[in-house]
Amino acid sequence: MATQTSVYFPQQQSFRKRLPFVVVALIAASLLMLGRLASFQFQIGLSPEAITYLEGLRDAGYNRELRIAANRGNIYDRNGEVLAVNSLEYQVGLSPNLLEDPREAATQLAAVLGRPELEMFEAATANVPWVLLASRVSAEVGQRLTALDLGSGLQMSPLPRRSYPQGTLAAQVIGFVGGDLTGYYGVEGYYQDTLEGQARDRTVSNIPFEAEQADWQGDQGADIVLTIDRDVQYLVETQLLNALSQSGAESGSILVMNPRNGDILGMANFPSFDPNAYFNVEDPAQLVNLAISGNYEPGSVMKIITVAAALDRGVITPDFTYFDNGSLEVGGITVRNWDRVAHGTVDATQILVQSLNIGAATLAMMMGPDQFYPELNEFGFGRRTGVDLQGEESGIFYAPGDPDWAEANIATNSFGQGISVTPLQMLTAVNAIANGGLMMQPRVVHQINDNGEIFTSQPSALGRPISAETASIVTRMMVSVVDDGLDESASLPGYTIAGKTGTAEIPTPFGYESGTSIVTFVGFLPADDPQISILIRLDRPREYWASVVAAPVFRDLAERLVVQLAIPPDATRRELAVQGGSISGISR
Amino acid sequence: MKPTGSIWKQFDFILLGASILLTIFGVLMIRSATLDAIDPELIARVPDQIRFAFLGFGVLLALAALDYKLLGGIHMWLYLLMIVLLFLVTLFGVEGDGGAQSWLNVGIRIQPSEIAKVLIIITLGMLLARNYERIGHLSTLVKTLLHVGIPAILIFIQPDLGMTIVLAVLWFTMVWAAGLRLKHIGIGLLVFGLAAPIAVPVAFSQMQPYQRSRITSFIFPESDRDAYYNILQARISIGSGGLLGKGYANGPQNTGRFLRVRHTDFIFSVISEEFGLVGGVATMSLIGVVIFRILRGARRAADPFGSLICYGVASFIFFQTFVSIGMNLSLMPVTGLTLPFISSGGTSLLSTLAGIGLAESVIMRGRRI
Repeated sequence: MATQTSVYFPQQQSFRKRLPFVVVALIAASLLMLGRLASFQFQIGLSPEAITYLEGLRDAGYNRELRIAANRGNIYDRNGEVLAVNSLEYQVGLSPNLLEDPREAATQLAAVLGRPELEMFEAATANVPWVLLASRVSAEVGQRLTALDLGSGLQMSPLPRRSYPQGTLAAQVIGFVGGDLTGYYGVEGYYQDTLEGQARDRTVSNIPFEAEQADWQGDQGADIVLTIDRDVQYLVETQLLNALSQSGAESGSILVMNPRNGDILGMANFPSFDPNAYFNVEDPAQLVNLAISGNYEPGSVMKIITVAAALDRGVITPDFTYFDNGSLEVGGITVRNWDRVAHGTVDATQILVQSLNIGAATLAMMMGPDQFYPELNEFGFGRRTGVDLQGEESGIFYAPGDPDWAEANIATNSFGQGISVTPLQMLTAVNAIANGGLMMQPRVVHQINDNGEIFTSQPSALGRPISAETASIVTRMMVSVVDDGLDESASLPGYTIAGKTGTAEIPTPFGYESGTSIVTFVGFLPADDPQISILIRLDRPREYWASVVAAPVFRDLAERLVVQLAIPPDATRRELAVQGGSISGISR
Repeated sequence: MKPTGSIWKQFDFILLGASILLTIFGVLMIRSATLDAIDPELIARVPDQIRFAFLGFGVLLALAALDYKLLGGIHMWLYLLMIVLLFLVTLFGVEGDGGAQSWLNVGIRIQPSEIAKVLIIITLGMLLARNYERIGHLSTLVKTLLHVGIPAILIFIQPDLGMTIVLAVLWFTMVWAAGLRLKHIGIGLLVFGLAAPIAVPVAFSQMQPYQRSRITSFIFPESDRDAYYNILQARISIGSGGLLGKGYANGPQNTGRFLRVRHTDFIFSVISEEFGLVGGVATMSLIGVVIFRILRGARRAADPFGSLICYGVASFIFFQTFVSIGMNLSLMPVTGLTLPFISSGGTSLLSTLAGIGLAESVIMRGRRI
């Protein structure tokens, strides 16, 4: 090719001259890029530190740590009825551009969610990557949404929540699980760590094609079986509500226990709450379990303890008598009986039957502070019983040495004033008398099932405040209270019942309130072989005296409980015992 | 005059084939970069690119069939059209992803600065060709500077710094090829050089925050964490590709969304991560084939106008490739210029294919050797 012929127009000359520069520039630029590319890809000319830095940077975002919470354990009553389970709710979101047929999807979503179709259509055609349709829908609605088969356009994020199928039943015993998936109050609070189980930590890749179909199932928290009997609990709650409406009391508690082993069979309070809707509770006081935290002055019920203590210390014998002249001066105060009458010569049994303050004070003074207060300690007053429920209170009494103690305290404490107790504390102490002097640890948890490993709670004793002999003497006295002192208001035909009333004034910082009271009845049956013990507490009833208000509530409840728990009348029981049969009404 | 039927015999099928391969490869890489996206704007990227590819190849064939000399005949109208379009953007433009007001919404969104890029090649080529006898006069230099300067200023105030520089580069390569005296080219560069100290502070104050950070992060890499992050992630992506790469749609940097603006600015990083050095070199080589076929056309053009068109097209394709790949390789600041054929962007693909069409028109009507 001759150069001459290829010149076609004048500039060709300058093009020709300048083209080599262009080609050289292109090649140089290309080599620069190629060299740089190769050095990047094979880490040429990089210091080891720089490589480590870049690799660290690269790997930093590739994985993330994920904590998968364990499945919270269920709670059952002693017969296996479900009291607390987990359920799912869903958050529902929509990716409009991933919907194949927005119009059809809007129609279906409107029907399932019960929302206006226009609103759903606007959401389904919105020009955004994601819209929130509903922040919480039930598991049932969630299933129906899944059935719509809208593909990846519809996203449902599971939101675990706690569900209480029995509704308000035993709410304050069970407690509740808050939005943070932590248990509060009652068993949910006390056994939080046990129920919650171990969270599992996983490392998950952020890279889509590396994301394995992992086992997302968390661990399982332990299941808990309560000593509570659902049917007893239901009965107790119903009877409490009846009692409140009949007596006009504003609040109250009923406790049913097995004095032999400390099992709490029923525990009801008013006011209470709905654990499925704990967030609607306006007054936090509704969450509180008064049976374990409601400190109050027990009144005459305490005389049982005073008499038992005096007998156990040997200060008196069962045939002890004293002269009741209607008043007693102690430490600058004058003690009088409830009826303000002098009862003459009376024995220890009559102190309980007639509920004589002067008698109780006389016994306490005979013991003196050195013997009386240690006995109160032995019966567990002034400290928590240690029941496995969150929120227990200890009650208060002052012993010599406390700045708040005065000499007169020993007299008032003997009949249940100037000392505060919780209902559970009182019943636990009385249970010691029912159980031959051995005071059992109260408990609500019967069994813990940790993934097949079963721990059964064994009955344990808190102590032996009194001897078996003293216990049986005091029990006979308490039977006399029911038989002779209460006009049959607490009696149940066919059963021997031991019991005691207590009517307490309500203390305020300015002295006692007048005309209103807290009434208590505590009792157990059958008296010679106790199967159940019961405490009734009603606050501010219309009528003042426990014998009028609380004793009939006890009788009505006991009447139904002996049927429900199949506790035979005394005659039948003795007949069976002769034939060699054994009775255990509780362990059905 | 040769018989009309035979001009297609000179049609450069190698150039067309390389363009088709690159465009298809681009669509596939955009798909990989936007896989599983739920942002509607991103989901639309692949279908958009395919639509513009069909439109672009239609334009390519139409321009190839059309004699470029006819376009030269209406160069004044084309220049006017360009200025009007750019004015419209200044008045009615809408903002794009980055915040610059460089788009016109006419049913579909178009970027007039990309169209200006192609039109300036035709009009500047015609200006130089008509003045080739006075190529040594200073007046020619002044004419060319004004000719490019007016649209450049309009683009500059959008603000679109990258495209302004492309216009400057087009001016330089075309007057160089046209044979302007080196002294005059020096003067021209001096004008740009003198304008720069005035323009740069003005530009800097006019620029969108993202543009400022791109330039500062290039000069002072540690100064802007966000921009520095992008450069580092690009480096990691390319570095982890190795010789053969991680495989299509399989790059952790890409699919894990560590790489930002994957479908445009950093698409070369995606290619390097997923296809390694081989993929990167193959992409560069194919673009190289395109450039050398166009330069070959420039040499064989029937007239200076055709020759200058080819030079212009080759130079903007080369310049954008160098800048786009260069910013992935930390050789250049991140300017937002697209990688020709590959990067997502309808008007950009359209202008590239239109450029190829113009070059084919010149090649088909060039000398037979």
